[in-house]
Amino acid sequence: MRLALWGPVLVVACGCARLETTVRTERGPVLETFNRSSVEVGPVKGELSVEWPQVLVAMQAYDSCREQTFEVLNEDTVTERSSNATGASLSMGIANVLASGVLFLSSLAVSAEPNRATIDVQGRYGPSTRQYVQGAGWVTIGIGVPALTVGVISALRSGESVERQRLELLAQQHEKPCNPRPLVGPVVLNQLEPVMVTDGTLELSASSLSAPIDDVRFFGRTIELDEGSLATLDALNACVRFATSGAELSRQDEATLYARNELLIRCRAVKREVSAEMNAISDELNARREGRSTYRSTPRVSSFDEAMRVFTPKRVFAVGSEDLVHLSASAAISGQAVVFRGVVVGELSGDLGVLSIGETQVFVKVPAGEPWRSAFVMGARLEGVALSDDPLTIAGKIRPLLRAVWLRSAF
Amino acid sequence: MLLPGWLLGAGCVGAPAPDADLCRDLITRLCAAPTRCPGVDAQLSVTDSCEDTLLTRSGCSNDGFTFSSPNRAEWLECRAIVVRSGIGREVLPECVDVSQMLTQCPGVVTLLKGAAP
Repeated sequence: MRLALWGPVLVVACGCARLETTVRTERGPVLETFNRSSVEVGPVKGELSVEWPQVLVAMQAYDSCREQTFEVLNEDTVTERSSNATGASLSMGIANVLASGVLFLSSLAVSAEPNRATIDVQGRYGPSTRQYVQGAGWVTIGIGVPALTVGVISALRSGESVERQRLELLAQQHEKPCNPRPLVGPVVLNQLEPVMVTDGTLELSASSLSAPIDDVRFFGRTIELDEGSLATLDALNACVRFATSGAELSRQDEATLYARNELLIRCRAVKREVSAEMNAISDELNARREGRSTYRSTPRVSSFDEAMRVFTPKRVFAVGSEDLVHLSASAAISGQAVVFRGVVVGELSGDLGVLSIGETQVFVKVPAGEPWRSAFVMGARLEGVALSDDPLTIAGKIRPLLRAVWLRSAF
Repeated sequence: MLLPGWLLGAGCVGAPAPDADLCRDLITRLCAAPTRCPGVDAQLSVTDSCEDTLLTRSGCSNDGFTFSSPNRAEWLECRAIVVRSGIGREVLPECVDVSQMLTQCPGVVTLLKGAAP
């Protein structure tokens, strides 16, 4: 019966003894070092040079040679378990157990006679002095034994354990391109059709470029160009941009003229013969300052009818229209006012959207801020008045360009 | 340390008191001077020598006294009424409790009057 009573008491008491666990890691001295070499797929580098109009890209493939130095050492994971209650529990337990022993022993020396001065309602005398002393002994042992148990168990569970493992730490690593060799294989420019390179050199004609080079890849890996090649590429791209955005100077506003002049200045690094174009731009700007230019800014209109009256379109681009044959060669009609009817097949990206007129798709420039811009939504059937411009090349696709001056929903 | 010891000790009890001591204890309480309850004099027909008289009549002065009628259990029930105020010998019983005991315990009254049960 007593064991049944003491058991749960001890379990609860021991459960209350919280152990604090501290884990720390200690690394020992370096035991040994070793090197490990590996060769992996490395970069593809290219050097770009231009002998106008010849563009040469010399490309080399490399491996990546990696030299790693490892240090071997032991790492000890030390787990320390301790309890703040251990000392207090042990001292209290020992003191109380000793005190209870003293009380039990001393109870033998005191009177066992009951207290005859008192008779309770059950007709029994009061407890004797020995009973009092032994009762105190039971109380102290009741305190002392659980405390001693907690202290002993805490002391047994306290301590530290060490788990050792061998570590290989990377101490140094050197990686450099190695094993250079001329690149052989398909090279992709601007995500277009791949060009097969057999001797590490890609030869192009600048005049064949319809768009600036912004991406050169070999099996999906970007070919890295050195600093000088990047500067050359920037100049080459300026030349390409100038060439592909050509239009009559008299129809370009001043900001565009200055921008084109900037392109020429950059282009001059790879193409010496740009003075004629620069002079032409300078002449046009001077002519405008002196009022001799034929340039007229696009007049603003406030309705479709006013646009028809002001611009007096000469051609109609619509399904079944005879003028539609001129659309594919729109450079010849550049600058002319036209009426167009079509279906929006490409939403506006910036100012540009795509309109389908029958089988032909055209870029339509829709200036920001115009009240009729909101009509240009996917699938909308629109008619409008526009100024035809030179074809525009975007993402490798050349399409006629119409600069809308008014448009509205129709048919 | 002493307080828990006293509490544990108070939870314990001593040996059973002999019938003679139980009997004397009740007589001492009934005859407690100086404020003996009036019902005691009237019902038990005692005077100033209340305690000696009752001890003699009941036979409790004899250490070998044992209860027969009332028996020990009945005596204890009746005594419990008188010691409601406390079991210490210095505690005087309430006269209400004394009257109730004399009313409810005719066997005790008969014994204390010295009549054969």
